[in-house]
Amino acid sequence: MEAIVDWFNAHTVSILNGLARGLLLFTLAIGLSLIFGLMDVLNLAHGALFLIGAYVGFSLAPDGTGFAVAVAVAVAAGAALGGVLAAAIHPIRRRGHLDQALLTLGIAFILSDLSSIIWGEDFRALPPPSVLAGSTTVLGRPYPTYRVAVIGVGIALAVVVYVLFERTMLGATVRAAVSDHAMLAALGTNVEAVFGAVFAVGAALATFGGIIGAPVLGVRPGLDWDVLILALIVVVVGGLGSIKGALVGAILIGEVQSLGVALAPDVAAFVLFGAMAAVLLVRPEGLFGDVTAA
Amino acid sequence: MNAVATAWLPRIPAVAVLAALPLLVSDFRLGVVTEILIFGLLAASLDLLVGFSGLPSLGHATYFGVGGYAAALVARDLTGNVLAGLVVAAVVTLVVALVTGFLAVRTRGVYFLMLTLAFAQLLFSLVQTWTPVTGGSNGMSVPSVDVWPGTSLDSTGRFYLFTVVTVGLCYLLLRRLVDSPFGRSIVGIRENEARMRSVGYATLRYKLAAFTVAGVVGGLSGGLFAQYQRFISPGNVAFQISALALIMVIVGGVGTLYGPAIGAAAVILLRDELSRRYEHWELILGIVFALFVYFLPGGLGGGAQRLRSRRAPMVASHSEAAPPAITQEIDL
Amino acid sequence: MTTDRALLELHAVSRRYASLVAVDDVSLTVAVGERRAVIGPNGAGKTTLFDLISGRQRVSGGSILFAGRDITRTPEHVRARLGIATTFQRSALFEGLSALDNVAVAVQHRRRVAGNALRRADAFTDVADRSRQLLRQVLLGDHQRTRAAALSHGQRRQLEIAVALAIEPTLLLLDEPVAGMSPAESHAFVDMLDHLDADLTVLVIEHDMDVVFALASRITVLQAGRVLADGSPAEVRADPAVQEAYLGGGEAEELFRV
Repeated sequence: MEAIVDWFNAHTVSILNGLARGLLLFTLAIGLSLIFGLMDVLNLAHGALFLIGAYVGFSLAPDGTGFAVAVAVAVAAGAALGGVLAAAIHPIRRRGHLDQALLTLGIAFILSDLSSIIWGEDFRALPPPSVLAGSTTVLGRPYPTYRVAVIGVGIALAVVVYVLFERTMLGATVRAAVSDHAMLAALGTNVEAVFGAVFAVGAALATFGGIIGAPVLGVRPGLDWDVLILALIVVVVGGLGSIKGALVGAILIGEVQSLGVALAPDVAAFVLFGAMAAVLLVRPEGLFGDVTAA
Repeated sequence: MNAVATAWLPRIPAVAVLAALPLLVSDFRLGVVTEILIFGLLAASLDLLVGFSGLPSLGHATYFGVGGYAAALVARDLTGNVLAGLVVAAVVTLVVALVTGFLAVRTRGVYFLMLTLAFAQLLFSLVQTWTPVTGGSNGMSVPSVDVWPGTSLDSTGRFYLFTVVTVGLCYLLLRRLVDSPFGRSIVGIRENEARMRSVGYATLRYKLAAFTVAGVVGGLSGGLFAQYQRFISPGNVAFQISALALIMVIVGGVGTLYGPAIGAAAVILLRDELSRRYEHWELILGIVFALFVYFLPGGLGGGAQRLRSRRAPMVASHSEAAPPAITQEIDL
Repeated sequence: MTTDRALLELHAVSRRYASLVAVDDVSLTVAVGERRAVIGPNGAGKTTLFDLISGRQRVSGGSILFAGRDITRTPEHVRARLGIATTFQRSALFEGLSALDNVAVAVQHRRRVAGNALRRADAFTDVADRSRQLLRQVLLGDHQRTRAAALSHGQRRQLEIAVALAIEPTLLLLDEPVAGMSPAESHAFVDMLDHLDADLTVLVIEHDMDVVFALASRITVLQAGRVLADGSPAEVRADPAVQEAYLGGGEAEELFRV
């Protein structure tokens, strides 16, 4: 027992970092999961949205002031881009998953390259907003205040999303639509409007994750693909279309990554692969996946 | 005898042109053709998955990269023999494809897409962090290879000819495979996996076999590419390679085997032209990609096939009459 | 050519879902060569019962014996190799393939060459010959090169039978084979089934009582997942429980539209 406590004490920072990373991944994974669950579309441009959110932060709040405004702009931009994506996918809605994935892949390339045209190829560090600069004592250790805030915001977001989708009428409608697309139409709901809205919300979550993640992760070309892949692993592990799965998967992957790099840097990639493989061997549809959704 | 003649006669001009090419064009262009051949093989191996087996992989760079690093390490640390490098590349990708395929073929549709993508990315971070062996993000240079000591392949012309022979043999093997009963089996699985089980097929085994063959051929193309470039870096495993290979398949037409080779030529020439004039060729490539999905889902080869099938709607050899699988709903 | 040897035995087989028992404690024995119809209202568990026999779904309880061998835990594809063939309620074909290839893909597996990747498929003339023979048997001899997707509904059902017969089954499960056919098509279809090898055991789910009486030597009636009656057509028709359930329940039309 004491050994376990010691171990946790020794790795407090890694564990907190894993939590922060995991919750950032959650903002991405939840959108991927919802868009897939509702629209049956794998949106591979999701990582690019995260990147754009981060760059918006870099452009509007390069020294940490005006961060709140930048967040609002990033969210609005994300929602708008989500609407555009939904419209772009609309003509090929009846085609297979591969076609849709390919289209969003093409869009991801376009957005990715546009970002490097606008913002350049260099690594950009973004300071946290001034009110959240410095460090706080967490579990007897100094820890960056901003990351504490990220963890807090991430948990709050998870709670809000969970309550919204599992405990409200709106959520019930969306969940019903996930399991039966035809039903929604039969109820007289404007299906396209709902799809557009879900896409906008999912995309706004991604840009939100990007901007609040920027002071933690920095911004650079290629970040979009890195976070996309991690979010995909999260969704594979957690199960598509499940909010709980996205949260548990995100924190699991965040921790595996953070602790893996801290404890065994050489084999961190294998640890991540191993975690995913282990889950898939036992439950091919993911930890919280609905068998019928797979 | 006649059947053999009809099968081979049309190929003679193509073979003659390929063999004479070193005498006709500059080394620079010969290098471009070599690259097209290597990527054409990668795209054809991916087509075996996407077009024939209905397994849409987003991570085929895994095998391209594994084969590439295996061949590079053999050349650097063991022997300069080109065949030894390729054999080791094939064996190592065989093992990797078996392990990853074992997990991947159990999943379907979007899960398969995500899982294959994840494999490639994990390999990417592995080669980036495993600096002592792979040289990390700086990559590693690969010594020139030879067929036997004294017959070095360090000239563009010689490596080109070696590539023509190797790629040609692999292509013929793939063609034979898709025309064989096994080819018919995997197309059947693509069309209706549940029905295949109900007539007695252990479908997972067939999917794993197709996945592994595609991986090994992809590994061979990766090995060739490392030997040709005399350099390898994590870029060879990057997601962009998987995407590029998939674009080649889509542009050329899924389920045709030769289409992706045409697609490789189109994509590489386009990329070279664009990147010479314009730094941001990925942007244009993305646009081309999206336009293809919207307007030409069967790809160039698929378009040609549609024309042909309009002329003779009833004639359908099982391997080439495959419908543009890209438009078909993946069985979830 | 019914004999007393049992080919298929179900002992107290059930299939339960979270809140539903689709098949409830069903026991039945089908003899070699028997032609058995399984009837009952929609939702009686007929298709689920077939799925349990073919291995598409696993039983929740009970056991299944096929040719004396316990196949309760045997996977679907192995049961197919043992000789259980199915056609599905919703046509399940290889849409993009020609009619000939639809059959050939099953024949080549039966001939154990399905994994051969080194010879051209058309070099296996025995596979092609057998496939053509099967197409002729189901009256599709003229449609070898037609893609399955381009066949008419009736032709698709015929092709289904050819695919099922290609594995040289000893037990054939037909799930509503004539549903959606015109009377003429249906008649020809029944005639074709009548000409199947007399040793072949056939289980058929069917709502059309003309077809049932034309094909079946024995009838099993399912209701709410349970066996309500089991016997010759005459016995079943006279069975008080059947009369109570159907004639009394106002569903006589569906059951006995004679």
